[in-house]
Amino acid sequence: MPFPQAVPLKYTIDRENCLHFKTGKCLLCVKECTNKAIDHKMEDEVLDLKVGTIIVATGFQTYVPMKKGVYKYWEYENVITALELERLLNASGPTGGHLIRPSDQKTPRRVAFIQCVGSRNKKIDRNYCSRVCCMYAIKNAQIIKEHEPDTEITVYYNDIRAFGKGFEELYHRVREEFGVEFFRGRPAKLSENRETKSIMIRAEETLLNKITEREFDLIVLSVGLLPSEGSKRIGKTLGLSLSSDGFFAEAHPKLRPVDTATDGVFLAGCAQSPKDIPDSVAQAKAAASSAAAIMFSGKVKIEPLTVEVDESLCVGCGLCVEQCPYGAPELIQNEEGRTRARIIEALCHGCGTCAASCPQNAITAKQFTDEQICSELVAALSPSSQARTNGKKAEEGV
Amino acid sequence: MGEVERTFISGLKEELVEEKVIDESQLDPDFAKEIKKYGGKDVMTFLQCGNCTGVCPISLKIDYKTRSIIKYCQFGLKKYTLGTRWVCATCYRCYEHCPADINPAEVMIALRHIAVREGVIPPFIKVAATNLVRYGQSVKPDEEINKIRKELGLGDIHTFNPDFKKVLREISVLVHASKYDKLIGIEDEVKV
Amino acid sequence: MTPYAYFFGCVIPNRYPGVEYAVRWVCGKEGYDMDVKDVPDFSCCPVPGIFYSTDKETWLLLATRNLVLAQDERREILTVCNGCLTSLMKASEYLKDPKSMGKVNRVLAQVGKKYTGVPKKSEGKRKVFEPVSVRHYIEVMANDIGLEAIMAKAKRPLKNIKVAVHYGCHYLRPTESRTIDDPNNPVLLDKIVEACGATSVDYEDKLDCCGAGGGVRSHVVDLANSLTEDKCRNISAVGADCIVTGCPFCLLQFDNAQKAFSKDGIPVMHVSQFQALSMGIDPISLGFDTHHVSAHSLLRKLRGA
Repeated sequence: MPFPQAVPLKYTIDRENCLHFKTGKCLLCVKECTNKAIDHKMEDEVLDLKVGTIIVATGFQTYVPMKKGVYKYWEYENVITALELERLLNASGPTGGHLIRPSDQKTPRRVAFIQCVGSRNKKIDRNYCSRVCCMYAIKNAQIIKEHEPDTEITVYYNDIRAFGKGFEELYHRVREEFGVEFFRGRPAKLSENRETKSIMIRAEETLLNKITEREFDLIVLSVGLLPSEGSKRIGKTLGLSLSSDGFFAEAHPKLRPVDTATDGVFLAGCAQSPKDIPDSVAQAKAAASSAAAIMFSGKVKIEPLTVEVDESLCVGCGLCVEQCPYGAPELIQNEEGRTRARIIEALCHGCGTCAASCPQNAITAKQFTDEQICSELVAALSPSSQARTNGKKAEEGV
Repeated sequence: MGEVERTFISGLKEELVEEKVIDESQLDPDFAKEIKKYGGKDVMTFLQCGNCTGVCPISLKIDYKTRSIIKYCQFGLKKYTLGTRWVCATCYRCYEHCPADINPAEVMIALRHIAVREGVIPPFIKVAATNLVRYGQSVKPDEEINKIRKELGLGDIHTFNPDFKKVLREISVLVHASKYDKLIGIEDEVKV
Repeated sequence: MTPYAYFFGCVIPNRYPGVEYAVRWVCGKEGYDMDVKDVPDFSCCPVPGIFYSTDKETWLLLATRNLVLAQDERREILTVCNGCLTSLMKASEYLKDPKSMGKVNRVLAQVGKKYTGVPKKSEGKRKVFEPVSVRHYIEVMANDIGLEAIMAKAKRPLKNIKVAVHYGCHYLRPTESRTIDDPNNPVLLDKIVEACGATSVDYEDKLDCCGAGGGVRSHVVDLANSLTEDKCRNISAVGADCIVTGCPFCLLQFDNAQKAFSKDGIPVMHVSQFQALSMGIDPISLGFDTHHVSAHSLLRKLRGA
């Protein structure tokens, strides 16, 4: 087992250290396992699965502080990320839940949290708020205080975003009950005391309008969330687009937050945007039921407004195949043996991209034919309609 | 003034005269636009995180807070930016560390542009501009140094070269064309 | 080899002729024998702290005048000063915008000059122009000449010399349009110093400003000096024998300011002087007598070593 509370909570074989893989003998574990769950001969398999819908829940990865950045994560021992702190505070973690600092294994007396590391920073092209760092820092501050009530904790923040249910109350509690100090300002400089290995933070307390320098025993960087590494590849395979922050784009930010541009593919969790556990669960359930709804109805509703190809005009150039975002057109051989485009109506969304790009005008969008649009334009621009609009404007006093 | 007065009241009277409440009459909504015009881009997107103040070498020495100056610019509180325009060393550390990717040093430079146009011109600007027009250099040539140059086997400073007259004329023409001479008040030096 | 044009600026010829001598010596026959030419018509860059700060229009005109001279010579500008680098580089950047180029050219026509950029190649009738490139001495040495060549030429490696390197702000920042070096972790100057055989020591706040820039030295000398004092304190804390910088204005500031707060001071020199020393030049011709802080302590250590 990698560590207690690992997900999934299953034992694995450490191939590099297993005696069986080293010497070909041993196999003690196989004898002991009453469930016969161990098989040393298993190999990696690539499976082809035929599925009706796909839910993309590839999650996130955490930001790794810069090699030569301001926060000196790689240079100073006592600068750790929040994930490392999380392991230190975990009852089943390497220290059994005792908070120690890396340099001398002693319990730190003064701890500082630095917020917005790798989030809300245009310089490194991370403009978004990671949404979870404020709350996990507050939670961890509370846990530290519960373990070691004498610890002085300061949180260097820009804005505290405690927006969820009960979050604001927790924020108040750590200040009132636990006396955690909140310091509004982004640290400008960290420097290490060579002997004590404590770290001095210089920052402007922006509410006080004063520059302060304070020393801490342990610095915790509240690192933000990044899209997981393979996002681009999966996006390419499934025909999903990425939004500017690198996470998967949903079909509509307000009305279709779990759907994607590709039918039958749904998003859940941090693959779509950074979010906390309740939000991920909610989205996962939404994605699951959206997927189930299609699968159990047994039928798929499609857009009635598709496009048509006039075979007599089409020359089979294939431009529509390249342009279509849904992969609807395909090139086929007709009876005379000529290459022609055909639209797979089940895939077509009637967006009209192909109709607009067709050099032969062979494609028309149903209900949006040239005649229809032209007469609409004529009507809209005719003097009588102009007069009507003007009249309306005059009535409204524009 | 007695001991008690000095401890408890001194300075209070002056403070009473000062305006403590900023009302709308003090705000200049066009100030941010004016700053933008002179290259201080997007003052309005400031995060107010205070990183710029923290990294600023000047703000460690005197009462100068980069962040609050930008805040004053956002609001259009011109009078609070007056005293601090000329102490920025343009080291651009604030820009390098700014998470909002704005350039506070350029804002300071824009403020200087505005100051100069209001007639607030520190003497060193005039000196340097005069040197440029007279010698083609911002630093006044030094006879002593020229002697050392000759000892080292280097030629005369360009300025002492008779051919350099042509360059000086060109500089004068350019300075005059952009009306810089008038702006700084060195019309007498520029002969066109 | 790329042809260059010397651009010494104001401070070096008028205050530190030794630096000019060193640069010419290093680039000349005795050194790397580079193709560098003097352009006597170069004027002040002009100083970013004064002209860029008060009127960008005038600044751009005067800077473009210098760029035009280099463009007509078909040469890259080799600056020895961070201020000139920033000023000319920024101007070259501004002129990429056809609108501002046209505006500048309308005025420049009055003195019979026109900025187009350096013609690189022609595609049919259309010529392709590239902006005039502006290079810093440090960058040229490290990238074009190469550290191995520097090491090979260092006949008298400056062993046992501990050097505190000062890059100077405008060599590193702003990185809006360029990156010569990593602004958070610059290495080139350190590497040159190491290639000369000396040791570059790390000190606190290495990338901080010397205090002179932006007109601060001319306006509030005490403020500038107090910044320099901080730097010097950090430098002497690590026991450096001298300060090596790539910018004559930083050099001037370190040199002059140290009088204000210490008796002896740490010798300061330009990287070209340091290089020339390692290549075995006679220190007398480096013009150390024009420096306010005496370089004797360093030279004595050199002789002893």
